[in-house]
Amino acid sequence: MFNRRDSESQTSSNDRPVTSGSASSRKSSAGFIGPTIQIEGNVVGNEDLLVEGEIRGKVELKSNKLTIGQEGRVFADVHAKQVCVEGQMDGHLIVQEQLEILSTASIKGNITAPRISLKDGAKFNGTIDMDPQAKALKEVFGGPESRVSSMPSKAEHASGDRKKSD
Amino acid sequence: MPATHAPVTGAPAHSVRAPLLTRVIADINPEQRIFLIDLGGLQSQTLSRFEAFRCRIDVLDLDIEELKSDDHAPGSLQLRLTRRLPESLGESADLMLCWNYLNYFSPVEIDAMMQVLLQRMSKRSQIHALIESSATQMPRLPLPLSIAAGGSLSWAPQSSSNDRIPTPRHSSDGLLRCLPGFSIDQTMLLANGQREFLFFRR
Repeated sequence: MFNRRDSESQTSSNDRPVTSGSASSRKSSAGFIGPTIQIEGNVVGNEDLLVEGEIRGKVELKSNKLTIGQEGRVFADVHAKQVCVEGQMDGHLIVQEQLEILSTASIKGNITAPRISLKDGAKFNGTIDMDPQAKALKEVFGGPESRVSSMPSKAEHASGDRKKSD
Repeated sequence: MPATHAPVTGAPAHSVRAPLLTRVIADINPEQRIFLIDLGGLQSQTLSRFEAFRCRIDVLDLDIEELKSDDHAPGSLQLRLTRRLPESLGESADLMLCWNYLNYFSPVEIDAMMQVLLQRMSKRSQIHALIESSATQMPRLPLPLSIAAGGSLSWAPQSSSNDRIPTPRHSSDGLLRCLPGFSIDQTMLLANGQREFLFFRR
């Protein structure tokens, strides 16, 4: 029951899968904000971004992936297609597809994401909204038809789970 | 950050069947939005279980030691609890998952906490809790529980060095006095000696 979601999301996604591993292994394919860099303001872009420094303000990567590395500190509202958190995050995180929270992560604030993978040990205090019809998702990314249409609905998942447990 | 027990790595997890929680989850309508308040910390298995639903979870990750700190001024526990509560955003919760946390508070403290938490609950809400029943001692801090496959509750084995404290022996009547407007839907004695409670708002 619990592995089903993972396998389906990996095979049905048309985009690059969310990958695991350390931030350094993904550094070469993404924009990089180094540990000594501090940014105050809006960060907007059309490429993946790895943050090992500090951002205060707002991050918009609506078609790309944001990775907050182990040394990264993001005190900002984040809108991104995919997000991986290994470091510190404080703000409203709105993720169109999947949020990955690693065990070293410390998150405070609100999370809106239809798919969340979590490694135990991560620290979190706040709201998690996994409703694909959540108002925040619609406001940032538009209607549900624009998102991951190849994935089965949550209702289909739930009915499948129940059939399996009957 | 909340103080927690150190799990023993590599050892198999313990588990116990929790029929009432299983029933609550089975009754969730996947087409309807559901709002949970979780007094415990974020657990991957619990998150996976609720991911199938249109679900909002407010994770409080209560720190017993911080909540019960030396400041005994009236309302200080409520103030600390309020700081852990996310904004309601105009929604009321349908279900509160107390896990084993109520064992760590006196009736007076539970009453104070519920004065804050019940304001966030809807008119038809439910509260699920595990109350120590047959054991005389329990770990000094709540074990991090999660919902495993098949509706069981699971927890990682803890190192034997963890301190143990006497259990409080909360009674059904005592708990109900802390939950004005709620009745007991059902209770079950679990295999680990805890009593599983499901309360519903009348």
